[in-house]
Amino acid sequence: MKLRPYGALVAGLLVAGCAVEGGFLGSLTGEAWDIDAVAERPLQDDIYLRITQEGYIRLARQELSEFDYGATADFTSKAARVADGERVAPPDVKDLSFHPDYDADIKRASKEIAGYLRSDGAMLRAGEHIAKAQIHYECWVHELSEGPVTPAQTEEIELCRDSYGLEILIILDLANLPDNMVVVLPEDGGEPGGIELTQEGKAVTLDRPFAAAGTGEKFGDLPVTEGEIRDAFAAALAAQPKPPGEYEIFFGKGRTRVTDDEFEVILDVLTDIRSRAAAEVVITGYADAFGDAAYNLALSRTRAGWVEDAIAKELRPDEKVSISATAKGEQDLAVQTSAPDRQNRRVHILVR
Amino acid sequence: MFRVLCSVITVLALVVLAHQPAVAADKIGQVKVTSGEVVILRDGAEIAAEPGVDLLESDTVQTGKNSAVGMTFTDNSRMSLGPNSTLDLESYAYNRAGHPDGFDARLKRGSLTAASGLIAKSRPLAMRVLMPTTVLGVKGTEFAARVSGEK
Repeated sequence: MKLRPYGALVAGLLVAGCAVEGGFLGSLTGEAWDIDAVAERPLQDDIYLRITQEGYIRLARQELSEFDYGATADFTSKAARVADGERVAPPDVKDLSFHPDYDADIKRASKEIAGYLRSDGAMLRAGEHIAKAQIHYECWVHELSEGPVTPAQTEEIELCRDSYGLEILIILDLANLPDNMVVVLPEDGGEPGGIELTQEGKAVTLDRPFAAAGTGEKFGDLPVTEGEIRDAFAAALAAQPKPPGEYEIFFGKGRTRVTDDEFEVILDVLTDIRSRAAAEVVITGYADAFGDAAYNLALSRTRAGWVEDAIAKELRPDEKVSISATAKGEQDLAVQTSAPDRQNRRVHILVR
Repeated sequence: MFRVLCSVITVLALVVLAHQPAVAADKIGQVKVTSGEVVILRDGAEIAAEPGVDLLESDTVQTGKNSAVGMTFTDNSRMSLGPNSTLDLESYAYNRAGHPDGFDARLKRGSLTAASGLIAKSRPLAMRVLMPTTVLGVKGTEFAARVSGEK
């Protein structure tokens, strides 16, 4: 704001007088007045904090040059709080009233900036511009609070408002997740192998959970939060079928039936089948490599068939399950030996 | 003259072979989860997708508003689509004699989540998701993609 010359004179006298008398300005002494001390404090690493820290210092100096000591103290103290690592919320103006030309716009901006500050994803991708918008918003609110709107003030108000609007245009482009994007999801057990994106000769590799990239016009790395990915893909994630269940049943030497303990596995398989809307069961029988290969192949087929029958017998006719059984004999030994080995006398059951 | 006749016969034979009806396609996967409107487009026909319905190579899976579908494939990979999505199961080969394993799905619009299976483990980038501007090659992982599609 710009004070008229006599306003500056009055303000100057007040400061001088009050400083001598220890009047109301006495309460504003200390760091709140000492812009230089606050400005010398190390800048925050986070880009949003850094830009608001610098922005509040700039606003404080501006107000000091215009002899607005209340605003100087306010902005200096906000800069000090940001220097402490605090995210300082800009003023909520919903209950205030302003000049009718600006009232609706400033109230919309108040809600808008508060919304962006609450959005972790927006802060991650557009923190720099949200900080700049916040400083322009502070300037806008301050200039509007100065009482009657003079032509000179109109110019200042509109400069703050328009600068705010330009930052919002940039934020709109960055804050929301792009319509075209990919992201690596975390998986149970084991590190993801990653995905590779190629577009017009350019390539991006994503190989850790929640690493994301824009595709199409915004091709390239994209910072995202877990929460917004879970929201954006909620419907697809909820429809993702369960991972397949895998089971093994082991057999005694030359045996084609299992013990009661091993039958427990069949019961686990049935529970798994019933937890799925339309289960497929893929049964594969194996034998150890001791003895005649043709005999072993037949033995593995009998074992697979016995498991298939055991499962099928437990199912009700209305249960929609497709079961297939194959035999592999001595192929794909679990333990590489031609000796009798229980680990090789097995039936593998996959439920998906 | 004989040579000409042979050529004609060869050409005719090739034409006849080219128009042989396709061998009954193998099942490549199955619909497991559905909500809302989900259809499979196959040879110009529209099939209602329900849990237990088989998927074939070249099928297109489509979801409507507020709809979703979850599918598994014979290599144990899994895919699901969110609302307003279209996915072409363009090519799929797993344990097929004379064919290297491979899975190409084309996401034309909407949202997809996927977990790769045994095809992705067979060789680098054997599983791919093709998008309008970008090719996603799977090294072995769970991932999600979304495409705005034609406006």
